[in-house]
Amino acid sequence: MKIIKTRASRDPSGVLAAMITIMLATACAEPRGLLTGAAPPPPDIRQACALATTKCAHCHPIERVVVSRGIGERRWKMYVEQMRLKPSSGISAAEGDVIFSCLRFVEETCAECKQGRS
Amino acid sequence: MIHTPRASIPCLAASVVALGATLAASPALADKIERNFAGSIQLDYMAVPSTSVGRKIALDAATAEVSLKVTQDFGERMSASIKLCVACHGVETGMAFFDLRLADELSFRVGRFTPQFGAFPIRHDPANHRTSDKPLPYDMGRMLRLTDWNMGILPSPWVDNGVELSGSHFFSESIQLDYAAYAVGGPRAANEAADFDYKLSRSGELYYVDNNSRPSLGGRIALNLIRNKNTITAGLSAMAGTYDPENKLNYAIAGADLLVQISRVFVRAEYLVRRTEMALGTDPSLRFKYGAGKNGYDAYFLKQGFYAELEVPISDRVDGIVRWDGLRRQGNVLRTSELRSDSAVLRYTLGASIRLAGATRIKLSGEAYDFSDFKDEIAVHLAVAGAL
Repeated sequence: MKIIKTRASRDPSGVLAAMITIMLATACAEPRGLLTGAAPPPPDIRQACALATTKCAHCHPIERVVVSRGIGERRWKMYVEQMRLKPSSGISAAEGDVIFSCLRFVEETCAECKQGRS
Repeated sequence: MIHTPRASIPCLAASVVALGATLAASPALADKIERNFAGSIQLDYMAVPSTSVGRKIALDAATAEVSLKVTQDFGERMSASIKLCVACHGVETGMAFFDLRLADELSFRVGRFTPQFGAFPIRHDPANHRTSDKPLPYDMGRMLRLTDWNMGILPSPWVDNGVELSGSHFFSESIQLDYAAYAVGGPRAANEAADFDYKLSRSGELYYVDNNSRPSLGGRIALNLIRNKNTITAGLSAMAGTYDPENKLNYAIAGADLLVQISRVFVRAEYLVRRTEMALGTDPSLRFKYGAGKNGYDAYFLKQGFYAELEVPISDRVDGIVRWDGLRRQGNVLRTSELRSDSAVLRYTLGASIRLAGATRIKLSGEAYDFSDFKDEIAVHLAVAGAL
């Protein structure tokens, strides 16, 4: 009888503990990027951008959004709708509106936000 | 009248396209057309320091993956997407489809696309995931011993022609249910095959059409529990059909996936299993490595794969990733195979993704392979990836 010889039987508890520690230490870190260069945001916009950062990062790094700043409101409307409809996006229609409010604020107040230069 | 899938799929596709074209032709929508461009590039170098000539067991050294995608909206309900990719196979069409959305709960997709199976494929683009390569169940040629293993369970992105019905419903702000059902050409192989032949899915000489006139059917259902910045997603997927030209060899793939997102920390896990029928041939004793069992030759093999990974932000610019993945194949093998009737590979990956400027990242990772049938190996990746 053949034996499968791998290291699967090693005790993974140490690695697991390290993972959980890192996870807890970093889970509350501040979101980054979206508002860089924009005007000081009101609290609701800050919250909207935090939501956008979390939701977008579900599938891709937030930089993909940051570097696209400057494409205009109409295209953001289209992007947000496309992303909302992705499988398991976790973005409801109401949250889509909130995310769009963040991107619209950035478009309106970030003069330096040129696509590809953010 | 016998209504076969062969007849109904093109009819359904034609109906959807016709309906979409009607909507798109509406004068009221003519001034709402929007077009978006996106793309990504990854240049990856893989070294195999544990062996003198890595090419003997892997597609090592440098590879480039490039994609360019354009999406055009035709009003609020219809859009078209085209994505061209350049990678190891040359230029391929990664996407060419129409989407028609009647409601959030009911969308149609027709054309060439990646059907919904599992959680990873939606992040398959190198600009969307943190490592240079993919988890073993979804490997498409970057794993060591890829020829011996015939890659993973369902290489990603699995691009195929077909039609997909999908939708999503929020029962509340915290509970989202997704579903998808599709019919696609499915995997291919020649007659008298013992496994999929992936080259036949990307060879223009053999045409980008179904090889057996019978679609593979599949679907996915996923439940998302959402609370503030935290999400838990659990999904189940399945796909089944025949893969040989004579429609004699069956296969079935099932998968389960789990994602836990706590703000910017992600824990992901997936399990895939594929049961594949092999042609026994006129004399199995000459074809297979192992003899008949109590009930004769078993025509099926089982291939299982899994991955579990943790992705954490280490700083504003650096994300760390730890992954454990593996494959196991159980069943008879061809005489030429170096695998046994029960073979496994486990891989341990430690990596980092470092943001440079804009959406450009450096990806570093080290992988330790633990083979049951071969000597253990080490692989090291260094890549630069970016999004347009």
